[in-house]
Amino acid sequence: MRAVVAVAINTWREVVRDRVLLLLLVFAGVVVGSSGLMATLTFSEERKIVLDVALASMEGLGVLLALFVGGQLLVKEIDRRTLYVVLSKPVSRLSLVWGKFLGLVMVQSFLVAAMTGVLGGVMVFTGGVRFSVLGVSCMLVLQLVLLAALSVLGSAFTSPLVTSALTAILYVVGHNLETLRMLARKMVPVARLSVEALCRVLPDLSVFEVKNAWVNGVPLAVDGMVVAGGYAMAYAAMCVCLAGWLLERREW
Amino acid sequence: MVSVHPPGGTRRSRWVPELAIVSALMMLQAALVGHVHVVVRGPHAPLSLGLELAWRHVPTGFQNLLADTLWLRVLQHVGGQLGRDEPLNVTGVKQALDLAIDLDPAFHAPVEYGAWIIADGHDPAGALDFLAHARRQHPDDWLLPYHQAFIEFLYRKRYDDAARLFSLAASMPGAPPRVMNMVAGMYTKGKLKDKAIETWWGIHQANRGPLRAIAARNLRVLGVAVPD
Repeated sequence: MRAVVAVAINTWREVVRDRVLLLLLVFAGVVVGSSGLMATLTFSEERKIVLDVALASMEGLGVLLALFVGGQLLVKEIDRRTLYVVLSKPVSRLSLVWGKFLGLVMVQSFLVAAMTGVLGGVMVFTGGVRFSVLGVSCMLVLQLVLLAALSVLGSAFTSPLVTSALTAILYVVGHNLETLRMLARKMVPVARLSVEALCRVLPDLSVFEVKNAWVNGVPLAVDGMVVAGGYAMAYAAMCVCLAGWLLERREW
Repeated sequence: MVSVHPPGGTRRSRWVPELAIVSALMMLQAALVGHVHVVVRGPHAPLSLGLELAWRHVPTGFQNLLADTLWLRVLQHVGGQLGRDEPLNVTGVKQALDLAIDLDPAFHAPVEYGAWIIADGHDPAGALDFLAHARRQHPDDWLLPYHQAFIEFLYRKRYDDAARLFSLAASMPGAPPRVMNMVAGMYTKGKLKDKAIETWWGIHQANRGPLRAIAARNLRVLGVAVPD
């Protein structure tokens, strides 16, 4: 456990050193800029559009972070040979993977929390804060946790580029499983069964999608959030353990 | 205590600032392309949708943002044409608005104002069709048949259809009683005197105060003796 914490803290430092926190500035610029622009570009529902832009930016930046940073975490260690130094200490490969994953989750959580703070500040000036935005942020973090786990899994067996591409594809497919199931119903039985089986294995990211409804005033369902939390944790744990197992089998 | 030093020493990756710069350049380019599009093709060119049409089929969690973008594009497209002598060209606007409310069915602004934009572009049939689309999404919203009725009344002069739609709106939850005045008014305009008298009588009997007085005045105009 101490090894996992140590790796996680160092991953945090490493990612922060990559100036990832500049994304916060990008976000603040987008949100503050859009809130000013909307007053001139539209004549109704400015607040809705500002919230849409802000929440989409939060998700977009979080996903970018998971794609690019998550895909590089393990590969960088291998390329720079620093992995040998780490593994020469009492750190198992599984602990290393867990540490990397948790470090990335820490950065993602911090970024989402900070972006939520910025959004809260903008909401004060555009009609008042809705504290349920914290629930939307939690769901976003859960989605990013799952994506981080997928990235870490990909980086255990392939290159950063392929990992980023695969994670991006899984992100789009994960939001479209219902469409995939609908298409499967029109296929021949063998294909239908295969696609349905695939839909059960692939991550269902639509369960984390609450922001669109929330912006339109639909309250968040706490029981749904709890189930989504359990699902994200279980799926992410499975991916990270699988990444650890793949890394255990790998030889350099 | 296990000590693991951050790898890479002082070497720092610079991808994040580069990413920010690329994003900023892409946004600038998108803005310029939009501007060039207007300059080259003129403000009266049709609003053309390309990749946006695929958005309906690929939900990625950004549907609201995409709907907002389409609504803003419609506003810029129409706004760019205002103050000119040429008639409003709304080709492509209905398609954009249909897509916007498919992406975000709870987005009120495109429904509330979009139908009037389409109707102002000499396409009242398109406006009615767009409102019918919105009604399929919100069958209990009395404002939608109310808007349809006004478009039938103001643009198509089909008073009987307008009366039917006002009547439908009046029967829906949340509709104010004054909507029935519009029903009676449409029958009057459509020279359906018997129906107009019947409707004004109904309003007269059902209401007190200003609505009753308005009904009494209209009944007298139609030649019906109404006690004070």
